[in-house]
Amino acid sequence: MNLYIASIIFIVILGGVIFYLSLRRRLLCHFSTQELVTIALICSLLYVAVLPFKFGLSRIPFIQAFFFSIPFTAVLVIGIRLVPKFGTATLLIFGNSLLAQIVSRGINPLWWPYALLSSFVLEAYFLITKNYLKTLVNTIGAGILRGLVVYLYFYFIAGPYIWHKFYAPWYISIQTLQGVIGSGLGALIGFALSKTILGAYRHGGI
Amino acid sequence: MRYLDKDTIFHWLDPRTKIFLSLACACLIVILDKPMSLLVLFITILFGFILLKPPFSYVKLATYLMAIAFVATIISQGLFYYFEPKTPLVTILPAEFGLLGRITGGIYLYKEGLIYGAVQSMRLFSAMLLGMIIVMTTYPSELILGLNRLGVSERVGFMLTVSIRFLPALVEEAKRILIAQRLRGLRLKGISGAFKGFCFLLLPLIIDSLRSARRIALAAEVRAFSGKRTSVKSLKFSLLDWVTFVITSLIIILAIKYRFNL
Repeated sequence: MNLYIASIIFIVILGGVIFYLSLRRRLLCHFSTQELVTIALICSLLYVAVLPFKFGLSRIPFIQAFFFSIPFTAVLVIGIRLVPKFGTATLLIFGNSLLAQIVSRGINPLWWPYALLSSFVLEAYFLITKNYLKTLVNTIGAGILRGLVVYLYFYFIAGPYIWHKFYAPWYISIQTLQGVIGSGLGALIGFALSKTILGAYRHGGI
Repeated sequence: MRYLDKDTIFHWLDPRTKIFLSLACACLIVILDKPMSLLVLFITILFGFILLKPPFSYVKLATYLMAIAFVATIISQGLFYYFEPKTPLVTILPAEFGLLGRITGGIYLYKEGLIYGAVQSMRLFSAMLLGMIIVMTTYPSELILGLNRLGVSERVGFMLTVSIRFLPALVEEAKRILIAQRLRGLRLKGISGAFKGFCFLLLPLIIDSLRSARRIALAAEVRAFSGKRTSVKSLKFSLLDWVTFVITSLIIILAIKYRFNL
């Protein structure tokens, strides 16, 4: 139990530091209604995009992390590139987690730190790089970071402490590696697709 | 799985009580460690599920999901059993089997791991069933209202409401796009086909949905939307809610007392 509680304290501190830095750099701003609705749309899309993989390819043992992370990261990258603001990653990831809990799994606050950590890590990455996925390298970096943090947290902390399920270190390494590669690939796909979407947006196609 | 329009004890509960019940169940899942206490928790929640008299399709879905969780947990914990002693039942990869054997230290299916997995799967069953009960007895809008009353920002509440409204529209739109693509002769097979199909689908789906998003935002702004919303339904804590709250709190306190010998 201790490691899980320690992780919650770490997430709260990380969130506080990010909030403080965003205040100092004057990055904290309101989202317009249009932006909120766009984020809501991407939250739904995150839920819908992983559904075919959830009941199909991600059921294949040993390689599920790879298949699962590609669609999620691709849609996430598109969402952040559509609304490149401080807080978008948190609203998208945490919003998607809440949506999935409301619609299908039932509210479970014990899984909120998992969603918050993956979003705070991305917010911290954007604060450090001062770049909201404008370049391909930055996007792939964000994807890889997300994959690394999410899978390590799941297999080392969330799985053992919430579900009491344990995994061998070699298995965690394989899954994390796949998650990192899958998230990187997803980021690449998301970046390529978002170019067309942003183009249509800019030229009044939407 | 959708809301069931019935008149059961779960339907009478305030959404905030249901959120508290979820949190309590999640805490109990973590705190309880004896097989018997996990079984009691599971049977209690199963009783609640039966009380709802869900349609056969829902029972089938719940059984299917529980069977998958059961098999996956038994196999994973059989392979990765963490505690001692361990009795290998089947050797999948001997430790002496070259580099792979040295890296993994050998892969065995442990007898104690299988039993441990079977016991631990009850945690998953309890969480799954309670989730289903809440989904079947509460409108998503009521849960969002409950979350708002518990301190979740109203803008996040608005975002969640719009997300839920988007879900069926997105699925329908995705189906329409897939049919249109097939009519134009698009045939994709295999794993690479699945990913190509995903890319081909995502682009028109997002562009079309962004149009709807713009319409919704415009409609909200012309109605002077500022983030704050009023609701037709008002939440009220009844005696039943207080009783549920007190009993659940007592159960958690007792569970903590027994688990940590306080």
